[in-house]
Amino acid sequence: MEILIEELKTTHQKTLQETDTQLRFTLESLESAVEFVSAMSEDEEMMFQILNEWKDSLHEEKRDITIKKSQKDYHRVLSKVGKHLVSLPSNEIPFLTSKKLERELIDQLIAEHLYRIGDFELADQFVQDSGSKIPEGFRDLMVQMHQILNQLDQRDISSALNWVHQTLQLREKDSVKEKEVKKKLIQETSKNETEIKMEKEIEIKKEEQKEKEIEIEIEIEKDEEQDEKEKGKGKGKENSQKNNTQQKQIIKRTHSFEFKLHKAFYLNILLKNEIKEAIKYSQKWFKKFALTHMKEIKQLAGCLVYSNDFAKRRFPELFDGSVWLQLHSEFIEIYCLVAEIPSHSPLELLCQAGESAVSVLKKVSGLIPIKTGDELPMEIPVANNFKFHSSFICPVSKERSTQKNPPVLLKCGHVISKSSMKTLLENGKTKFKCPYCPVITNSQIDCIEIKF
Amino acid sequence: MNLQKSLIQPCFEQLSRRLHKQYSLLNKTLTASFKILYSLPKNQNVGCEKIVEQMKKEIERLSKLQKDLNNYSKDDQLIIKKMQLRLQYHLSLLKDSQQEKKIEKVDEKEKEKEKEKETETETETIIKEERKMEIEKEKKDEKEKEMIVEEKKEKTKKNPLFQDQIKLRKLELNRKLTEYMFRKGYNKTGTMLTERHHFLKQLVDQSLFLQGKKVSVSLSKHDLSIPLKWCLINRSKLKKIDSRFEFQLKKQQFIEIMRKGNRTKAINYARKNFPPWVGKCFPEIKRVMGLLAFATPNEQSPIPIEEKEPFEMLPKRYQLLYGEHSWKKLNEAFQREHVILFGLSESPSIEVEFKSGICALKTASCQNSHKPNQNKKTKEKEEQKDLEINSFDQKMKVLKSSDNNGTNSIGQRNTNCPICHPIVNKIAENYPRNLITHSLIICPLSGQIMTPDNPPMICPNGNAYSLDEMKKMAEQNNGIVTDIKTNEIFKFTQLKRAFIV
Repeated sequence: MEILIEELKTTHQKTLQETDTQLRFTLESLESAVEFVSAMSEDEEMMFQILNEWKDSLHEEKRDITIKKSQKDYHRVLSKVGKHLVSLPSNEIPFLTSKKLERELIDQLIAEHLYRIGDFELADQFVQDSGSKIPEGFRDLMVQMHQILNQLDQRDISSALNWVHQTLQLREKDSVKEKEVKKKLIQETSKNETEIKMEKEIEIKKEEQKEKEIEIEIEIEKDEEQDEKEKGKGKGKENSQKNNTQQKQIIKRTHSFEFKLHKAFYLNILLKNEIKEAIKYSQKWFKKFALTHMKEIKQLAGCLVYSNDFAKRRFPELFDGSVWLQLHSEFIEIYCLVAEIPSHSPLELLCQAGESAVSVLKKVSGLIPIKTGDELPMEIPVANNFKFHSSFICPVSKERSTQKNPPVLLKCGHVISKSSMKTLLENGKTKFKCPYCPVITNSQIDCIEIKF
Repeated sequence: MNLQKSLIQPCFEQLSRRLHKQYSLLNKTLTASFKILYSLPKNQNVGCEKIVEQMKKEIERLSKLQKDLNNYSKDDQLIIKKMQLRLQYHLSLLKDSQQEKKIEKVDEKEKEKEKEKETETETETIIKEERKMEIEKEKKDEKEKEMIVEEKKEKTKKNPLFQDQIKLRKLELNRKLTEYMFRKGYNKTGTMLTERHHFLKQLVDQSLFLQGKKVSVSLSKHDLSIPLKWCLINRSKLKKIDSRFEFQLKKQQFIEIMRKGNRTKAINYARKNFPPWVGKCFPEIKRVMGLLAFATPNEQSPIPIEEKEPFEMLPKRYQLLYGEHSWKKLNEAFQREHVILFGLSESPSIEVEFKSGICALKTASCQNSHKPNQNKKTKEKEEQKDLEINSFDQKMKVLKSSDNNGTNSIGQRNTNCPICHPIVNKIAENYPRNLITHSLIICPLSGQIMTPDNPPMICPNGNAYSLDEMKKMAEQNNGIVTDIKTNEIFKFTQLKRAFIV
């Protein structure tokens, strides 16, 4: 194809040149003929003689025909290109044609994507043009995020710090409230012997450890008691528990993110060789991270001793600016985690995954009709970073495990689905041999159903 | 994805049309002027001055032809350059995607460098040079920005290919977005996008879609003259695609004549225009001709029948022909034909990719995440919920309340699943999910995929977590681990290792 287009270019130039020269010659001969004729205007016979001669010479040269011929080369190459293009397959995949209901939804997605990128002018214009609705508050979230990111890129951590402090305050308030509620519940409820023993063991360990670990254990006690009494509440309970642990994760992550902010700023000061300022800064901010990030603080303090060049050689990853780039991407992740939205634009992820999928789908849709809502007849290979959900395929039956057919852990540690276990049990027997190793499992005692 | 056709065919079509124009212009003027020139000596009775005048006229005409051809060919050369650029772009995209696959299979640092050397070619260097030009422009800003840019440059020296790859991918996504904008008629956003990114004007056929808009605007105004002209111009090519669009336009014209009540005119029109289409579209012709027998929308019945208008007594399928619906259909048909003529695909390429991405990434847990129970009662409740849920926050809360690993998790990974996003999930309902042939377990705590080095550990209640996370927890809590989903505690020694094949 490249060769064809190169050829096209050259022939085009050639034809242009040729037509140009031919036309030029005709014009020249015309003009000279005009001169002659006007000179010989008195003598008519001579004039017509000259004209005749000129006309014959024109005929012989046949310039008009050569001009038309020169166009043909270009025409020929162009039609070659055209034939080649027609022979290429089209990008149509029949079962993926657009449906009416999807258009609005796709517009909404694109609007979200544009807001995520940070180009607010463009995104607002798009919303205006398409009339799509974005979820409430999303725009403001993104505006805030990009403000902080812009500041970070200019190595200013003040707004990021503000945000971090705000979120930590909010989360810690919530966790304190929950603690108080739990303590009251524990005082009210009665305890069994085994639980008392467990509590004693745990209490001894408690005294040596931090607040957060106490929270976990209080939760366990409370929940064990409540689970005995209130079995029906199931999901709601799990939610509050999960939210609680989620809160803790968020607190942890924002805490370490704050440290990274201070670290990057500190390194910046060091780069400017302002050692006293660096010391002051570290004294002010690094105290609260002493328990969790001691190793890194030691490293940073060590950098004070080295001169600038030596420090750059010794710790290149600290001084080459990659710290700021990492901050940038981490901030996006944490901000989205706190705001409970996905950290990457779903449109972008889907398009990335779709690039390789298109060719596979094209081949298959030509061979087998694909029903929507079902499974594809073949697997589209997908990179690991696009995998978000667990799935278990039984190695014996090659079926996907569901809630009705869960995977089962055998005594030896191998996992098969429940249905294949049933097929291995013959005639009401309870023991069977694992298909992978000679260990015998008792189906009623040793098996555990796994929930992935 | 084979973009070659959709990228290059529009340029090719443009070039061939221009060639036709040029050739016909050339032909006409040359034959005309040479005819006159050859005939000059024969006019013996004509005076000398007149002959001179005629010759001067011909000089003017031919020199004008020369200028016109020159102008044409300048623009032609621009189009050919555009074609070359697009081909380069397409080839560099292909190379990147091939390299990505290699890198996934092989170890990272050393072998990357080897392949960088092997695969660098002229086309890539041309694109790199142009990008370097861009980077140099940025350097002229403030000092702090210079610092940052220099640091980034140092990074690019380490991994030059990756940087180019990222930019290429972004450019490709933006190209698809601009194509989408222009196709849907969001011209302002489209032009804004082309201004932001360097190559987009060359890569997207803005003029094509703007031309198409003229026709669709006239269709929305119920004016058939411009679309009919368009059909005339593109007749030969429409024949190749075997399109019936021209017939549909004529059918609409017939309906419009009927609307005014002029039956004889309508019959004459049909006699002129419908015969060539009898072979392909006979059933449609029959139905349209049936309109002659029924009352038109504005006609009054000579005998008043009940209180209804005569038009309302028509069977529905005939009533529909007079309505807005047929205009909408025409518009859609035009959009399709217009785009196919130039080698582009029927739906915008971003939609095609997006949907194939859905097919690739969709799993059963994504499907189930929005439908926790299949009972009738809960279905009604869901419908009520759907009506109430408008804000994003509420939607996310609904997601969390479902009892499924896919949507609520502590490890950050699963909230990022694009298919579980509420909008995408609605779209994804209509598409199949990907076949999974190998087990893949993700730790709910860390969000990482469990491998033989980091196998799942099963608690006595059946929940699974990765070994690394359980170890960490045990170290921090003196050998005791907690199950996050149920908050039960176990000893680390109670956990059993599972072997996933």
